[in-house]
Amino acid sequence: MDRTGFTRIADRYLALRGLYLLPTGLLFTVSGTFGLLPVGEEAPFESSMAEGRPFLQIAAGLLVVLALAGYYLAHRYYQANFGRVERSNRAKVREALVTGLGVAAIMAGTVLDFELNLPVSLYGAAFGLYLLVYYRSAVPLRRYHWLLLGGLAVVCLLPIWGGISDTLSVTLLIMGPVTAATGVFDHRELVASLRQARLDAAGSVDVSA
Amino acid sequence: MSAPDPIQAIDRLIHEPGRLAILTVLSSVKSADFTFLQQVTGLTKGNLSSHLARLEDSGLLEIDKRFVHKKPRTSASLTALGRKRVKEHWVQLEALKALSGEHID
Repeated sequence: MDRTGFTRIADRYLALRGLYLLPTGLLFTVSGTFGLLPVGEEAPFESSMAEGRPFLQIAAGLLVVLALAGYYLAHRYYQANFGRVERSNRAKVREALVTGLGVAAIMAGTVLDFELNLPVSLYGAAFGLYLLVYYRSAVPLRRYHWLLLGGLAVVCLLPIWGGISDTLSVTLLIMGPVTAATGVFDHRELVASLRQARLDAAGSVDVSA
Repeated sequence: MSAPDPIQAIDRLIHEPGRLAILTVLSSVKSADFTFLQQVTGLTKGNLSSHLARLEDSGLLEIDKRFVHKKPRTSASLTALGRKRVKEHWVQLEALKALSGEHID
C-alpha cells in the first residue's frame, strides 16, 4: 500500500472528472465556429443584434442550456458511480486561489487581445497555462496535459495571430477540441488511478512512497 | 527494561489493509461517502460496512447516515483521535522500514 497514493486519490478524483470538460469543449467549439462570444463590435453576435435578428442570441442561449444539461449529467454520473468527497479546507483555499488567479489571467489576456490587437492570443495562452497550473496543484501532470494544454499555450504565443480580425473566436475553435480531448484523457486517467488504488488496497503495505 | 518491540507496537486495528486504506484516504479529506470508499478500496459493501462500523466503534471515525431524495447516503470522516492514530501508525511503519533497512545493511 502506497501512503501518498491514498492521500492524493481524492485530489485526483476531483481534478480528473474529465466528463465535465466535454460540455465546455462543445461550448467553446460552437461559440468559436459561429462567433457567439459577445465581444467586439464586428463580432457576428453583436451585428446580428444590431440587425434586429437575434438568431445567434437564441442559439447561444440554447447552447448554454445544452452545456448546463451536460454538466448536470456528468455530475450525476460521477456521484452515482464514483461517489462524493468533501475536500479539506486547505485544499479548498488552494483551489480557490489557483482558480482566482487563472480567471484573472484569462480576463487580462482577453482585454489585452481586444485592446492592443497583439500578434499573439494571450487569452488562449492564459487558458492553457491556467489549466496546467490547476492540474499541477492537484495531480502529477501527464504527457497529454503537456501536449494538449502546453501545445495550446505555445500555439497561442506564436506571432501568427496578427491578421485575424476575430482572434477570440479562432482561439475558441482551438480551445474547444483541446478541452474536450483533455477531458477524455482525464477520465481514462481517473479510472486507471482508482483501479490502481484498489490493487494497492488489496496488497501489502509499502512505506516507500 | 528493554524497549518495546516495534512489531508488537503496531496497531492491529489500523494495520488491516482495508481499514488502513479507508483511514489514509479519509486523512486527506473532510469526508467521503460510501461509494467513493468502495471505489478506492475495492471492498464489497458488506466488508466496507463492517470495517466502517468497527472503526466507528473504536472512535476513529464518525459515520453520517441520512436520506437524500429518498436514497440513503452514508459518509465518513475521521475524528481527531482517528487522525492522530493513523498519522502515528504511518510514522511507526516508516520507522519499521528504516529498522529493516539497517538490518539488511
